[in-house]
Amino acid sequence: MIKLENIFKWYNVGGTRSFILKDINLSIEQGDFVSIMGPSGSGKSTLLNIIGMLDEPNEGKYFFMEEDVLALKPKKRTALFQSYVGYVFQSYHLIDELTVYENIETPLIYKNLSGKERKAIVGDMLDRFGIVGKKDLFPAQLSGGQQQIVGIARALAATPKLLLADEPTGNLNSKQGEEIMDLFKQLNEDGVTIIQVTHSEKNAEYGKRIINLLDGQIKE
Amino acid sequence: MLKTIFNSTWRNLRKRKLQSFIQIFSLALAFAVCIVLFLSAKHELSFDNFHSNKDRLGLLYFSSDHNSIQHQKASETMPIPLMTALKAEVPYVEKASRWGNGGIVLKTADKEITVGTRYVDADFLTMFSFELLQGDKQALAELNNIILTESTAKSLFGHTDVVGKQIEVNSSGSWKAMQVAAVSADVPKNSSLNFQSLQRFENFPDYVGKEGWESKRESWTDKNHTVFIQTAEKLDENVFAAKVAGFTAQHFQKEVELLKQNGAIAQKEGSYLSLNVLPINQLHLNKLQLGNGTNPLLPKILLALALLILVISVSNFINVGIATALTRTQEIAIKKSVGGSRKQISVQLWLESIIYTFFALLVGLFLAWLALPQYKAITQFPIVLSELLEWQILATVCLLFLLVTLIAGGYPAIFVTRYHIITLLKNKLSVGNNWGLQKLLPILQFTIAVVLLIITAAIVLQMQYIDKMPLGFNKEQVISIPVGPKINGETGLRLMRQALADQPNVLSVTGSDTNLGMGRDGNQSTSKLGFDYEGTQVYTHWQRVDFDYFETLDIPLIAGRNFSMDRENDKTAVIINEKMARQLGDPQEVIGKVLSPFNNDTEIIGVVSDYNFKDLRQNIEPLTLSIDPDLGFEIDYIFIRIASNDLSSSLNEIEEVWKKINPDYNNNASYLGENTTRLYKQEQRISSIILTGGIIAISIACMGLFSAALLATQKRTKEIGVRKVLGSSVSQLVVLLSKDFIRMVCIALIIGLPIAWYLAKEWINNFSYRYELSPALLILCAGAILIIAFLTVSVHTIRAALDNPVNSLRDE
Repeated sequence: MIKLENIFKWYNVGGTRSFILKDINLSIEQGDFVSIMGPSGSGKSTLLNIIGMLDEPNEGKYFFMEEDVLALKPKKRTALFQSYVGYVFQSYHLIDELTVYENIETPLIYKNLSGKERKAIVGDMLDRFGIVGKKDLFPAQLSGGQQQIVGIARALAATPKLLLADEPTGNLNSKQGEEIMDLFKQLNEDGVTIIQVTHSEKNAEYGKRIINLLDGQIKE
Repeated sequence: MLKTIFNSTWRNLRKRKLQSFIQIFSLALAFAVCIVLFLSAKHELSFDNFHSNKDRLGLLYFSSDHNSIQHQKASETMPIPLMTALKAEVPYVEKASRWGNGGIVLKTADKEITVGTRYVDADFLTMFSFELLQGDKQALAELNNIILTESTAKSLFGHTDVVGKQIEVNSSGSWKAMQVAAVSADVPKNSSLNFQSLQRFENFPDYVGKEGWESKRESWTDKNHTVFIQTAEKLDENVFAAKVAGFTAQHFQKEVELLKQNGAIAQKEGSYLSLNVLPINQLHLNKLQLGNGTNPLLPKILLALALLILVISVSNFINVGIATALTRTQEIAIKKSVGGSRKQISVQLWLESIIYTFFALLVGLFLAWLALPQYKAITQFPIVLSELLEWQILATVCLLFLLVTLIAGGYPAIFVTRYHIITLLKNKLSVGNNWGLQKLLPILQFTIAVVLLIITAAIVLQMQYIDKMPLGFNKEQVISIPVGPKINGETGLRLMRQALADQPNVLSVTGSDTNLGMGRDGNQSTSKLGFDYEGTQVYTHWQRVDFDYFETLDIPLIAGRNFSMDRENDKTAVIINEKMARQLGDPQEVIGKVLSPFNNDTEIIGVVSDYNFKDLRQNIEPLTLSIDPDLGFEIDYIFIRIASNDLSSSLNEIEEVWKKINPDYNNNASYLGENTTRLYKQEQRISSIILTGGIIAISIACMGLFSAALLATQKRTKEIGVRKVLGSSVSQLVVLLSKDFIRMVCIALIIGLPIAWYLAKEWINNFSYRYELSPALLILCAGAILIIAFLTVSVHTIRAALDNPVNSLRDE
């Protein structure tokens, strides 16, 4: 599903290159659950961003579903990721002005689904995550764990094949974190490929596979 | 999709209450101002365009170039025989009508009213498109026919079905039977020609003549009415001038001679005096000061003001729009990350700004509707909002609407959505620095505000200057009463003098044929004549006065003596002003000299110091004053100087006395003080409009600055916290935060001050007596703007600087 070849990412700081990712080679199969671990500044988030095409590498090749992503036109690239990838953020990134229901509905609007279809899908999501009673509340009215659940529901509304999560439990207490990780495990069993970035050994254990990063390089 | 957008727009609006309010309200205010000013300008520009022959109609006027002050450049008064001669001799002129002013009393068996009348020729009805409700275009075929307007007919008869009725008409003392031949619709408000009744020019008092006062129907030198012509083809001023050159040379030979003797300069085409035509579409707005026209600058000023205010508020709207879009990067990033394309997100932001603008437009219309009655009362523009419902206007509004929303909503959207999600999420976009437009717009706003403020100040100062100008006479505590057509002026004045003789608070009573300034009756008149004096030609204004004129008005004599009731010969004597005396020679030596302006000789018995008997746009011209009632100049105004400080009760007492003498009196007495002010009504109208506009412009500019400062300080909260932790004082922080804004205002001042200075000078140059603009004014205005701007910004900066750094640093 994902194949990274010789990925480099660097910033120019005062004339010298400061490498964030150095020669990353990685392939992930469909149905996998990967945890990326490593100390602060090791490049985990950047790697995840590149996989999610939120960021571009300076060098290297990236194949997603057999497509050479970096050679695609931006429009096509957006379309590709819109239909296959969902994102979950550490700080949830819900839209403050929208209710729970509307937040989950947003990606569906952008996919140009009809009102009826959207209603069905959002209703389904609310059901699945047990937040039907909260659908008219605004993010500020929810606890962190609840917000993250909404975030995940939103990410899954567009039925992605791949879920990318950057420290999904970073802002949560341990009980809430556990709930989220159980949810991830469940999703993975349902067939969603998951890549998560985490600090926590315990959370990483939920994954089928752990990748350790240090100073921009994969340590096997 | 739309529902979501409406929802999120509404929630955004509520979330940023203050900014949304500023954004919408300032735009709404500007819309309201624009609507009102635009309609006013439209009204001004619509004058006289309802005549179906408007391309072929024009007003005649004489023009001559003269380097002395004695002669006005353009003058529209014509001698009586001119119209018939012109029509007969110049085929280019197809139709023509004289237009003479007068006031008459109309009487039926049970009612009597005083109305204005205009004396016209039979062609008048076919030349101009005044609608007739009853009767036909032949209504003026008979000499004793009269046309009434709808409201005149209604006030006289109570209805308009009056064609064929006989009424009694009194035009200059005697009654005459006339027949109502037609009823016209009331004259449209955008007509330069105004009348309440029309009759044939042959009834014009100067044409008829009366006992002891010759008819002027054969005179080519007495000018007392205006003439309108209609040409056979499309009116061309140059063609007309060429075709009448011979006519003028033939009939005005003597006048041309006089002009040459007096050092007139030949005009461009070589003649000294030329007859010209002013196309009717310029009658209301012309630079020649012909007709009752308005300054042609007025509609331009109105439109320019509207445009400037719109520019200020739209740039404000855009600026706040951009700044808020920058604070919404997170939201945009999220939308991008869940799959929103650039187009989708941009359209959404654009729709939001459409909703804002539309809301502002509604509020603006409401504000305009609220302000309209007040505005109409002050400026006298008869405008209604429904005039906006024309497709050209609606189309323009839609276009403007689209443009504003595209720039305010679309531009920041396209800009922000261009960034990578990560950049947006990390909030790495910086306000300012690379944002040219964000700095440019406030500079533009403040430049405009500075210009408007200084022009406003200059106008106000000039008007005050004129108000306080010594006029050469004492205008305080003098009451002026128009005599009216029903009663003879000489008798009225005599009776009034007797009745008031024993009133302790009446100091003196006198009369004149012209008012000073402009009274409540709105009349102004000029009598000017030229005659031979010791072999050279002299020109003078002629004014009929009565005994005690100079005492009543406190005009000092500088040589000779005043008119005296005890000397029989004084009746034929004259007193002249200093200017006139200079024209004749030495002021001290002219006493006893003899003038013969009419056929008989008059002796100069005194010289008075110059006083402004005309408005201050004109210099004082030579003036001759006589008390002779037999020369055809009647007493039309009675002036009374009163002692009491309680002016209004004195006015009431005097009005009571006058009502006994003239039961027809309709409360139009006035104070001379007001009259001189009334002369500048037009300037006052313009200045009050510009003043209001200037204040609104500055408020909108400040609103913009206010929200820009709010956003900028919000963005810099962290920096402020760090600086405070490092030991910066509050005042240092305020200076730091205000610096950027003050710098922008300073740039605006540097650009705006010279422009303002130039425009203010130009305007003041319209006056003969000018307020000397000093650079201190500029400094004062600049200082005021800086202080206002600083206070506006410091509302935020001080609050931010006082904030506890723990709060601003916590979320890291």
